[in-house]
Amino acid sequence: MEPGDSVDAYIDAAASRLGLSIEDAWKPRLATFVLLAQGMAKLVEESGALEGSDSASIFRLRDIP
Amino acid sequence: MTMGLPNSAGAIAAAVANGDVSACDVTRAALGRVERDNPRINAFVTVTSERALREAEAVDEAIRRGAVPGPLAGVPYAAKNLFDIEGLPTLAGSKINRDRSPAAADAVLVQRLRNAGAILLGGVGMGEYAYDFTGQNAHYGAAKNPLDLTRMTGGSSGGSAAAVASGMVPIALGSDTNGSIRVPSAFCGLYGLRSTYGRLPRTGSFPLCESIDTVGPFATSTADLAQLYDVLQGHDAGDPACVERPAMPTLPEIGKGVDGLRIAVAGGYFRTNAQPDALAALDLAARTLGVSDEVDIPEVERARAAAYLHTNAESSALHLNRLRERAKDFDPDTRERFLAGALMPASWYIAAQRFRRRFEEIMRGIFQNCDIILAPATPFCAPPMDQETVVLGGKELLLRPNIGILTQPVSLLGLPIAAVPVYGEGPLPFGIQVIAKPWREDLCLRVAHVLENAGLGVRRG
Repeated sequence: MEPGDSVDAYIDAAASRLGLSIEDAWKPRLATFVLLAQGMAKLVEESGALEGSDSASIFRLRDIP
Repeated sequence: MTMGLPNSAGAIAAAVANGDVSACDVTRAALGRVERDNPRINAFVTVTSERALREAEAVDEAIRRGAVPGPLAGVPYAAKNLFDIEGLPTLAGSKINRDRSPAAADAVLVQRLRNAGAILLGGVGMGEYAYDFTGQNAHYGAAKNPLDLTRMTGGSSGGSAAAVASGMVPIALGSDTNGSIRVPSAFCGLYGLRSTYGRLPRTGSFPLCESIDTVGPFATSTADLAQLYDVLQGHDAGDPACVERPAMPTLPEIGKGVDGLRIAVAGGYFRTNAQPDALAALDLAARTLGVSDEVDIPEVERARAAAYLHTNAESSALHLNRLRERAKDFDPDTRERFLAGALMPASWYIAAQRFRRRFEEIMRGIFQNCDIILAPATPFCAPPMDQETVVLGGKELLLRPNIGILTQPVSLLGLPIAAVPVYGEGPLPFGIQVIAKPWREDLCLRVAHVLENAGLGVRRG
C-alpha cells in the first residue's frame, strides 16, 4: 500500500482472496486497524539493518526415535 | 474475607495443614463469597462448586491419613477461562467457543495447582480471545473493578484480577501476551508476574500469539505470588516453547533485599507516554529503593510496534477459519482487529521478527550494566468504563489500544516482569513493572517484596 491508495480497495481485494466476508459496517474500523498496522510496519522497517537478523522463528528438527 | 477465616493463600494453607480449619470449610466460605459478590463484580463466568468441594474433601482426607499437605492446601483460586478445565468447553472469552467439545483434561497449570492442594472455584471472564486491555466483553459483560465499580479492571485477565481484588479468592491464574497480567494488576492494585517466555507451560491453554504468550499468577502479596509461581514451575513437553530448565524456587529468595542489585528507572519513551501521577508513583518506588540511575532504552517504540505486528498477524492466522465462518459471532471490539491482521502482508510480520533479534541485542547490552529496570505498567490509573480517548505526550489518542503502550514493548522479548501496586495521593493505585534479565523472576520478586514492605501497595489515608 502507498499513500493515496484506497485502503478499501485493498481490503476488498485481499479479503476476497482469503475467503473473508466483510460487511460494509465493519469497514471503517477495519480500515483504521489496517492503517494502524501499516504505520507500525513502517516504523519497524525504518530501523534498517534488519537483513542479518533471523527472518523467522528458528525451526528445530527434533529427533525421530 | 469471611469472618474468622484466614485471607491470604499462605495463611489458609498453614491453617489447613495445622488442622485449624478444614479445606471444606474454607471452600464453602469461598463459594459463599462468590455467590454473594459475583453478581456485583462479574468475575466468574463458570462456578465449579461440586468439583471444588470434591477437591477440598480430597485435601481433608489426605490430611486425615497423615499425608503431607501441599503448599497450597485448601487455597481457593480462579482460572482465566482460557485454561482447560476438564468437562467444560474452554471459552477464552468467546461466544464461538461455547460450541467446542468439553476439555478432556485440565490444563497443566490447573493440574499442578490441584497437586499442590489448591481448590478450583471456576473459570473467570476475560477479553475475547485475550485480545484486550480493558476487561470488557460483549458476550459476558465487563468484569467490574472492585476498587471502583465504574472503572475498568484492565485486561485481558480482567476476571482473574477482579476475583482476587474483590476477595472472592486470594490467588488466580491469568495470561500475559502484551500486558494481560500487568495491566489488570495495575488497575486493581494487585501483584502479578509475567514469567520469562518459555518458563511456565501453556499446555492446555487457548493461545493468542504463541511466540509471545505467557501464563502466570495474580495475588495480593509477594509471598503468595512467589508461592503460587513456585508451584507452577517445571517443564512440560506439551508446550514446545517450554524450556527444560530446573525450577528456581523464589519464595525462599524474596526476603533477600536489593543490596547489590543494580536498578535503573526507564526514561525516554516510558516517561513521555505516562501521565504525571503515574510517573510520581514510579518515582516514589525509585526513591524507596534508593535508585537514581535512569536508562533510556533505544528503539523501544519500534519494539512496541513489532509486538503489535506479531500479535496481530499470529492471532489472526489462528482465527482465520473462525473469521471466515463466524465473523458475526466475534465481539465487535476484537473482530475488526483480527480481520486487519488476516489481511497483513507477510513482509510486515517478518520485519517484526527480524527486529525482535535486534531488540534482544539492545536489551542484552543494557543488562550488562543493570539487573533491574523499573517502568510504569500503565500510563494512568484505571479509567472509567466509558472513556474513549486519553492525552499522552501532548496528543489526544484512542484509549483502548494505548492502555498497553508501556507493557507491550517489553513483552516482545519475553523478559520476566513483576507488576507491583503503588498508591499515590489518590484513591486508585498505579502499577510498576519490575523488569529483569531472562530467567530471573527471583530478582523481580525481591524488588517487589521491598516495595511491598515499604507500604507502597497500601492506600493512604
